[in-house]
Amino acid sequence: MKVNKANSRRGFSSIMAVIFVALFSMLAISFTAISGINIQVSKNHRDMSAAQAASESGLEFIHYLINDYIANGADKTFDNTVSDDDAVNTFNDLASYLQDKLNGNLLSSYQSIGNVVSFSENGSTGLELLIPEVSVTSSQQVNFSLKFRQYNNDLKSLEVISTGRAGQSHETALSIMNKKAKMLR
Amino acid sequence: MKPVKNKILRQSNKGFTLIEVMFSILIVGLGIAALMLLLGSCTLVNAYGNHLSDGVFLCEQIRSLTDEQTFDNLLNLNGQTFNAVDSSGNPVPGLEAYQQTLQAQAVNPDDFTVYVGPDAEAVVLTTIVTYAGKEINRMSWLRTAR
Repeated sequence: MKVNKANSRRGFSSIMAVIFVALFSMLAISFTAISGINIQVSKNHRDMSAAQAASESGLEFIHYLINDYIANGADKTFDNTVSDDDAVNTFNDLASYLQDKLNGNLLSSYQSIGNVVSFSENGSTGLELLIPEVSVTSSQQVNFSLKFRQYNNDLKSLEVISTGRAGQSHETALSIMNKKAKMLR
Repeated sequence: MKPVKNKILRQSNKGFTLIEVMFSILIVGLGIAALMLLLGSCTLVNAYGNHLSDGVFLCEQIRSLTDEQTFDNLLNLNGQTFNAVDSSGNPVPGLEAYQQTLQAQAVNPDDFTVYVGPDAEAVVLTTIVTYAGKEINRMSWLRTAR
């Protein structure tokens, strides 16, 4: 069967139309995606900034609490030396102080500070006390949580890790900032 | 054989009819018009993203500015507005249309939702950045008397 030149060009317009429609669609999708990414980057920046402010608020708060803390008489040393046992006792006493201070006050009824637990991380071991999320303001979803750590290889130091969180969980990923501070007592 | 060949050549050079051209222009025109509308929307969205980034930057500047203040002076800053200043209090070029408002709320350190009098030991500071009267961003943090 012989096919002439005119018949062989039939459907060319349809193919061109499909190509144009595909091109326009790709352009539209690209523009929308770029704008969406731009907004998401800005929102992540906002959440990270708010999370950083929250984490630093946590450290500020814990400095305030520890300034108020007076070690038990039994844990005080009057010879300007602190033994490892003194350090462990003081850490446990501080944990009790924080539990009494925060449970039922700053922390809502469904939250509470647990007991001191052992931890192991990156080859380091020690004791840890966790303070659950505390909201900085009631109107915004911005909060901080705290970890107190006493390392077995450095019992006379107290490490505080404050983790700030910001962002609506179903829209943005949680932003987490860690701030570490060592406080010698 | 010769007339048949001429006929085929005539058919192949026929081109598009006026209706075909008009429809193709209409379709392409609609596509371009839709793309223009989309570009307009994308520009607005991008502008919001830029405003948000500027708002975050200006909030951070006020936070740095208050870091330099003593705790006792913080409550005196309550309600103060700034016209897009940096952490040193100098205006930031290009951001003149923004305004920063600082709120300092004395709170009970045992419960941040309980507001207390002027002799507080903790203050929740909030910076609100507005652009043309519209809130762009707000950031809150805590300062204590330690």
